Amino acid sequence: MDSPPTIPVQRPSRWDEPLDASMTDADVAWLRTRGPFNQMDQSAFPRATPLSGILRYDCRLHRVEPGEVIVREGDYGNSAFLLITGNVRVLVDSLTDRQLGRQPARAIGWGEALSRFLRRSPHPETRTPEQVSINVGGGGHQSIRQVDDRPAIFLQDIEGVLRRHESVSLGPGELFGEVAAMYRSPRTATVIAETEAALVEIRWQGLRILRRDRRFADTLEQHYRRHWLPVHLREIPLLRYLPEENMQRVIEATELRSYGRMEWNADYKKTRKLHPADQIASEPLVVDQGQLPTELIVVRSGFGRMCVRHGAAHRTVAYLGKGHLFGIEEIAYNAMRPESLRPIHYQHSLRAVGFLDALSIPIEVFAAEVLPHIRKSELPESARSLQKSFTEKRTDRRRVRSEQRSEAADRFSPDPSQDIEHAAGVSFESTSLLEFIVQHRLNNGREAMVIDLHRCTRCDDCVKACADVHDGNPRFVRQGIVHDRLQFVQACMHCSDPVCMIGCPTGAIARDQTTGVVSIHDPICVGCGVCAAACPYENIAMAEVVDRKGRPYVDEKSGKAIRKAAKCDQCSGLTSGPACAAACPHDALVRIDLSESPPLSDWLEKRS
Amino acid sequence: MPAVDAAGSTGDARVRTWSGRRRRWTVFFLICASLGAVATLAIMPAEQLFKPGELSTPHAQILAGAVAGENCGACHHQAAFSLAAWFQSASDPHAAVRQSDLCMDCHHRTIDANLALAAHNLPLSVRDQMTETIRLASKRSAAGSTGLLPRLIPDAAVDQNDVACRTCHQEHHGAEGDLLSLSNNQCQTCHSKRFGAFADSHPDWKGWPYGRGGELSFNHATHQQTHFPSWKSGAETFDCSVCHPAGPTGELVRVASYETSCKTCHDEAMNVQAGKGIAFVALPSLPPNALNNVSGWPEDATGFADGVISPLAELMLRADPTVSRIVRSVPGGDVSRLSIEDPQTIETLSRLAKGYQALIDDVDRRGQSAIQERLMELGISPGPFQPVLRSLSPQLLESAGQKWFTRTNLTGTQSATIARPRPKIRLVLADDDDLLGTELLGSSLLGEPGDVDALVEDPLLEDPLVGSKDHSSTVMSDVPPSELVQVGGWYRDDQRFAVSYRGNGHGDPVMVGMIETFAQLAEHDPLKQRFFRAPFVAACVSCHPGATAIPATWRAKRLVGQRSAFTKFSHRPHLSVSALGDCSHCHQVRDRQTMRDHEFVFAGSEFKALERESCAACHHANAAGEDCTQCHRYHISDGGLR
Amino acid sequence: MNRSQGPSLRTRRLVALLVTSVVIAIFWGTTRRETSRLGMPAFFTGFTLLAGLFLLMLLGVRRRLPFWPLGSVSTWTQIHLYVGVFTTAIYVLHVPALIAGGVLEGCLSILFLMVTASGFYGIYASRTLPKKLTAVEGQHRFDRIDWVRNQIAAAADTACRQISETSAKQVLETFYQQALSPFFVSRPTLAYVIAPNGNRRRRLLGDLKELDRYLEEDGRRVAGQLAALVRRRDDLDYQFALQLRLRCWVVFHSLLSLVLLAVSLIHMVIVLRLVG
Repeated sequence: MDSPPTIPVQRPSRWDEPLDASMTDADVAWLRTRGPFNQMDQSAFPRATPLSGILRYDCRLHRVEPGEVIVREGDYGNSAFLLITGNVRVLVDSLTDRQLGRQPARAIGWGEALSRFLRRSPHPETRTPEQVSINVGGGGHQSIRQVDDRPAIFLQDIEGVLRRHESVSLGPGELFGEVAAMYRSPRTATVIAETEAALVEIRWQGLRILRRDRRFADTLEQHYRRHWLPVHLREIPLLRYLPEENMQRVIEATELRSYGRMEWNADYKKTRKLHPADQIASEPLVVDQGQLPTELIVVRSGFGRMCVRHGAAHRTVAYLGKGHLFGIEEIAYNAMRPESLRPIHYQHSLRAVGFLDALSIPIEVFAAEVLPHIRKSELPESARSLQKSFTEKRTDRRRVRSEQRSEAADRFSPDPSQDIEHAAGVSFESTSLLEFIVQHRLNNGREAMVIDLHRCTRCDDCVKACADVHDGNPRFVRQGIVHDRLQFVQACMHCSDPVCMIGCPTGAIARDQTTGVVSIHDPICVGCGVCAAACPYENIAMAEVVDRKGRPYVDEKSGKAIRKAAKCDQCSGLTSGPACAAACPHDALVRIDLSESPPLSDWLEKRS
Repeated sequence: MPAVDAAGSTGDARVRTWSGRRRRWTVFFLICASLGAVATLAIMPAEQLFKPGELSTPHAQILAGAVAGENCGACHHQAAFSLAAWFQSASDPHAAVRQSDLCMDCHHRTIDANLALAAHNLPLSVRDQMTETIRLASKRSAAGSTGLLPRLIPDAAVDQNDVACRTCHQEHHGAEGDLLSLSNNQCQTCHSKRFGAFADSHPDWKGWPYGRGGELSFNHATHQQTHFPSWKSGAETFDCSVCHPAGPTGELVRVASYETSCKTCHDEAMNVQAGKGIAFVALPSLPPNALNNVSGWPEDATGFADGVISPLAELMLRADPTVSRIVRSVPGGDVSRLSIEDPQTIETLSRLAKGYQALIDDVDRRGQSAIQERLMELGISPGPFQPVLRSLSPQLLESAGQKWFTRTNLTGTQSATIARPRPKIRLVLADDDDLLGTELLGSSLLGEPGDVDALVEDPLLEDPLVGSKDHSSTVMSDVPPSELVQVGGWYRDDQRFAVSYRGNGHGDPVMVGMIETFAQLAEHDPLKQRFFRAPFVAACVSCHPGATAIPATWRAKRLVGQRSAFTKFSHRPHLSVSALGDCSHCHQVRDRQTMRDHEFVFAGSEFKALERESCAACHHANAAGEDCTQCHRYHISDGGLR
Repeated sequence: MNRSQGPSLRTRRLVALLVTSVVIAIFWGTTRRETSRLGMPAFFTGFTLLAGLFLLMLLGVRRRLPFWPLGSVSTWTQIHLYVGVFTTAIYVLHVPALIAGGVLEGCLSILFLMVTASGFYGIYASRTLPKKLTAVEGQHRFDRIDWVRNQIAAAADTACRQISETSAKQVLETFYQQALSPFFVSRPTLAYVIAPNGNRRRRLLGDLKELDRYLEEDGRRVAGQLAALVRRRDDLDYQFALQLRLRCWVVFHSLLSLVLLAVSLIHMVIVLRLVG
């Protein structure tokens, strides 16, 4: 390539986009007088990112009113909250959907399905007043109110809720929500304001730098290692037969590492245009090919790309998702090899696609504590032949017990009594399909809509069926990127990393705990468009809503049209499952889990 | 990737979607289709529209002339296409009428309407009987080898006592449609005994095709082996094709005419057998004491009781109530066999003589009607006797009466004719014109008795006739009277006091008439037996055994094309096979020489049995076919199967 | 729930064909049996046909009731397909002649054969045309084809306007006015829609290539743009033609099948009324 003439620009800097532009120096100064910031060691922070900078750019001050829901269980978020004044309550029990202003998922009967179909609105995006706002008909007490300049959702009858539900009160100086923010996991509890309170919201970038302060870091680390690491380790299927004492030693030795950027979706919109080689090069390296194995990498969240050097670039051989292992083959071989054989090196590189949180188990601990408790059949091929000396009899009783535990640990995992295949990553026969899926981040999709273009007659029955069950509004467009004979349609994939859910002010976009379906609860959707902007696949649309006569709803104060986010809800409630897949006459359309390869490769296999 | 919102609409210009367009097309098309349907209904009569296919040509021709509205109704009792009629079926007065009844409206000529719907048109009892016969027969013969296939034939879906015509005859399959096609399985579905391939499992037939009641008595064996070689030292050869030539259609004639086949040998003998012929009346010789109160009995016929009452005369006399018992009491009609000692005999003979006189007198006066009335008195149809009547002139009898009876004293007008004296001359009337003198017959029937008297008494009318008779009698006096009618006819024999008929060769209508008349008598009537024993009658009946039946059959009936027989056969298609051109390929006459007589008789036929194998050589599925319907008919009357 | 469960399409086809032929054989045997026993097999096959027609129509019903859990439409399509094959076989058993003699019956049999033929064409079309569509660049939605066509026309217009060289302007504009503009502005001809071919595309591209000798660099660039647009437009028309064909046969098939059902009901009523 010849070098074009240079254009001088300002290098984008760490804090170009502050979390809250209205943070003033006075606010920062005030914060620095409050704990725990007043006890932090200034010198621990790099010069480029001083503590005051973090407070200025990565924090936001909140005033919450009694009864306001601060975080909801099950939500994804990328910020933690520090209580400055006032009290909040952490609810140990789960709140019902209705209490959170969401419509609980329910099965729609035959009669209702029919009447919904027959009473389709002639106008696009029709909503009843109840659907437009939860405040309508709610009496004087409004569920959604503006607090300062942001909408907030309030619990009705907070005393009653607190009386009925077990809760823990938090006071000034206490931090909550940091695990969800740091490790991209759903919030584990709902927090509501008990009194009027002031909170500092710290986004994860800031939180990460704050860990430079040893005390702060230790607090976080201990908290994590005590409460969350065991949970995360037990989610790993490979460790499901590990006895408790071994597990303790594994927990002690394991480390958590994070790679890449949590806001990968924002980056992706830029990097997807890059050449694939450049794209790979831009991804943070976790493990390089050819190193001597020192640790087993277990992906806890995010995605990893497993690649080998091929010619001048890297060839992707698999992608890793939650629970997948990297380096098991090499480590198992090295651990079991007779002394005469030479140890082997890492065969692949691992790169973080977007972001990657990985647990690393040192090889010594793995060989001593874990390896004897792995089913022979689950070991990699090369290690299996060496395995003899490591055989340990396991009784059925133990297996049953382990299964129960394992089941509790991971709801989405397949039947634990089955051997877990592809524990070391997901790959397809066709490398190009694999590259394509990773490049377009389709591996995020749990319910991706894939069309086999060799069978699709373009009849649009899928769109029609979708419209028919959604009051006349199709929730997807039959278009999308095409690879070979597959079209990945622009329909919500109900991603395993639902970035759309981050930042929803009212929790209107929520994931169903049992089905994993991400759906929008209209009454509490304030139409802010955060989710639509966050979705890297552009699968959420903002629609201006009208009533059955076609009259648009407008905000009573500003007069602006009311907008609602609209997306595929996987036809939840309909017993028929997604209408699009059911309506395809030619077996061309399927809703499929792309985070694993077997569904897609099986599906392709069937039609080869 | 273009950003498109979820609704997929790109602007506010409303474009009709595909489904919207499709809906409009659908509505438009359906409207057009319904309009088209209505238009078709309006233009085309419903009968034509709904007809599911052309009728076969015969039915179509019959219906071609019918009024349009009656087309369907001719066969479909339900046919009514008006909207109202569709809802009236419940109260249909013709509910009991069925399609088969409508078929029978035309087909009752060939099929008995009462049995039309019964299987094979046979009553249940007959079918049961036949089933039992076949069951027993098949039990006896171990041969009934039926394969697996026949057992797989399902049982019939139809009631055997109610087989609708359309079960087999399916219409509306085009002008060329075969109404008669029926598979072997379909044929056998009703049968309890089923057969597979013709060669293996068709039951044996015993004597068929021989002994099927030929109406001529002809023994092929004796003719071939005895008569032909011996007659004129074998001047004629025994050749099948002489008697059984191919007819104009190519089908073999069952028997060629007498003239071509039999006459050469049999004509002469038959003339000899005819002899003196058969007498209408022949006066017996009666003892004088029996003639005490009988006037004018010829003297030549007086003496010992002798002579036989001719069968015709006995028939006539039986009708006379005064003598009918007397006549029956004469054994064998032979008056000589009456016992002289019996006091009754004189009386009997006396009454007999009077009966003769009354008969002749009666015929004399009333002519043919007298004879006819007498026959009817006996319950005999005078129809067959008509040829006799036509040829027998009453005047011949009148002349006989005048000639024989020389009575003078007669009471009243009754015997006026007889009272007139007549010269004793032989008179023979053999004129054909006279024999067929209907003019005379008519006048005598129409006229009053008085008129007849006046006519007869007129000498001017009588004299020339009498004179001419005298003349002729003198010329031919030395020739036996029977020889006067050498080509046949009635004659008077004054020697025997008889009026006789001498037959004329083969097929004489008068003889036919007499035979058919006597055939009507009861089987054991001695008169009947006596008549048929007479040589001139026997000459006919020995070859025409069917002549004694009622109705009489003289000719061999054509068997081909017979509608009532269960088995049908035509030589015609077989003759196109060159090997079958030789009749003896199938029909072999038994050798008379090597076979003893009683064996020959018990063999039942002079032909060797026709074996199934010889048919099966060609009749299997791959050659000439083995369909049931090739040889068998379904519609058979009761007699057809026997 | 694993949606990829179930047999492969090939196995499914094999099993379905096998089952269909077994069922056809059973029905053939029953018809033969009924014929042998002097029954009325036409009633048996006729009512089977009618039931088959209703079963076939159920696909349309299912398509219009997407909101009920009635089994996936693809399952129904498979049923439809093999019932269609079965019904065709039963039809052959039912009729004395492929096209019946009478007016109504003749219409009925022609209708049936048309529906059947279009059905079989549908199988062929829906298995072959998608591959052709996929092979063509750009997967356009049918409802947006007009829009894309206008976009292409507009793009061509813009490309033509941006020529700065006077010489090229004259050459290209003339050609654009004479040949390209009518092509871009008008919809494809009916002949092309019925039987799409590459003639038009080859001719235009060839003519455009010919112009190169009169053009300099800028003109050639624009000519190249125009050629690309011609290709896009032709691909679009090809997509339009095939998608229209795929849609039209469905309409044809379903409309005729409605009429077929109506006429066969009339046929049934008449037969039931006039039988024996």
